[in-house]
Amino acid sequence: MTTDPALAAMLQATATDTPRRYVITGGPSSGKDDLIEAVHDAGIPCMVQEPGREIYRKHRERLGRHLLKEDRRAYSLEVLEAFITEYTAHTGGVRFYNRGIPDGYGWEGFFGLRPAEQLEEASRRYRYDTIFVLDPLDTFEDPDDIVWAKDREIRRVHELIVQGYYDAGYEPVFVAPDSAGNRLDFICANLRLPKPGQGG
Amino acid sequence: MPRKSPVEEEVVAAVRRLLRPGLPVTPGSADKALLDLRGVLARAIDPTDEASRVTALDGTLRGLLARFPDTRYAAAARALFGLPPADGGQNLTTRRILAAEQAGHEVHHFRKRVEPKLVETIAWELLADADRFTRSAVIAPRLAPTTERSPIQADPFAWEVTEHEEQLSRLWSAIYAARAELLAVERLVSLRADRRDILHTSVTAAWRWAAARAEAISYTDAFHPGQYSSTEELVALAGWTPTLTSAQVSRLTEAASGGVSREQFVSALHDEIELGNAWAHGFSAGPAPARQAPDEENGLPS
Repeated sequence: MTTDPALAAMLQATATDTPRRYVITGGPSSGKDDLIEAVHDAGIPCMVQEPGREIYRKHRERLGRHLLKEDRRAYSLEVLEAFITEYTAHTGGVRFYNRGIPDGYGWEGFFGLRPAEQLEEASRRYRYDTIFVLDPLDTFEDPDDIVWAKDREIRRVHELIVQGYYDAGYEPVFVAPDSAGNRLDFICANLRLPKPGQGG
Repeated sequence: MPRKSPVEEEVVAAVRRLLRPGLPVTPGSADKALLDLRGVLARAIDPTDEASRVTALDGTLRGLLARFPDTRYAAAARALFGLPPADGGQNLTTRRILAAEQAGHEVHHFRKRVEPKLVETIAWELLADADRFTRSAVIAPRLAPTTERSPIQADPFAWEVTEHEEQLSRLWSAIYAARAELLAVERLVSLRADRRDILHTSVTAAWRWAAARAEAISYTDAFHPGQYSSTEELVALAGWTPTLTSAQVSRLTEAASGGVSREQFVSALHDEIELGNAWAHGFSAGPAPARQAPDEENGLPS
């Protein structure tokens, strides 16, 4: 249940209106999980869990080894399918998404794959209203100002996700590093939704 | 492989030239200095295609301008390059007036004093972005003493990045193990050590080298080409090895795959007389080649 009556009333009143879909995305270490939890706590309809994780686990389990180049395409298409299902299942009112279809560009770019035709087609067909990119919480720098290989890669993932949304024709809104509550307030203000009032 | 770093002045000049047309970047408005930036190449769907790089540059600039570091001048910088609060299609003069207004400066002062600094900031941001895409190719990952546990985020990207680091660590550990044994053989040859010792060490070197090659194949199969190097370039880092035919190299690699012990490796190659001789003779061949004892000419000696 939402903690804010004005927000609850607005969500209820618009529940049968034209669907409004908002994506929350960003690389690892961007604080996405905490924000998604805050969205749930505020009672705003939201995708429960990023489907990519479970699909990834299943692929690993089935293969019994790490993913190879050819496996990644199959994985990516299965994740796309899950995103499309999630997208089309929503028929009215506000809904937040834990990553969106164009995240696939970032994934495929990270592994040097060309975007699959299915991804291109889905990105054209299934459009979101606003994309919120969470900037990383970590600076990925150690006290000696050296950025290590793994952290560089994590940063690269983030930038490739952002580029994926530009490639798909979006102008993402960047959400600065902050507490999950403050970030949600910022997002709600941007969407002209009443703030859940849990910032801090 | 690492690319030559872009020259800062060139990037500054290229960003300055981009001011007139503004965003979106078009093939005609993009300088090579910008299209060659590592961050742009890395984001391009097809780095060999100019149109793809132009799109990537456009996205990179939009992302940087959306997160312009100096909040006082953020709106001015965006307007100057044609992003909101400017409207699409406005010429530079109009955009400049708007940008000056956003920054709270008189236009002439803005153009002379502020604008060059904004251009420079964007150029620096582009260079910093390019630096984040630097590939530390063909050097072992740097390690630092760790005193705290660093849990991995529950995220497929984070899992893959970690998997990559795991594979990379395995790869480099195999390459260094092979290097150590190849160096040991050369040291023993130089010392004119006992021939049996040299042969024993050269077999260990063969095992380690072949294991490193198997690891390199596994790495390049799993991760996209160009991430580090080709299999052969990677194993070449371990050091010089005797010349073998490709069939012999394959046989050696096959025998060392799957983390087998030295004993298992030797046993798998017991009947490979020609291969054993080619490897062992390769080390002994030189200014003063030594003849191999007849009892050692029976596959790989143990």
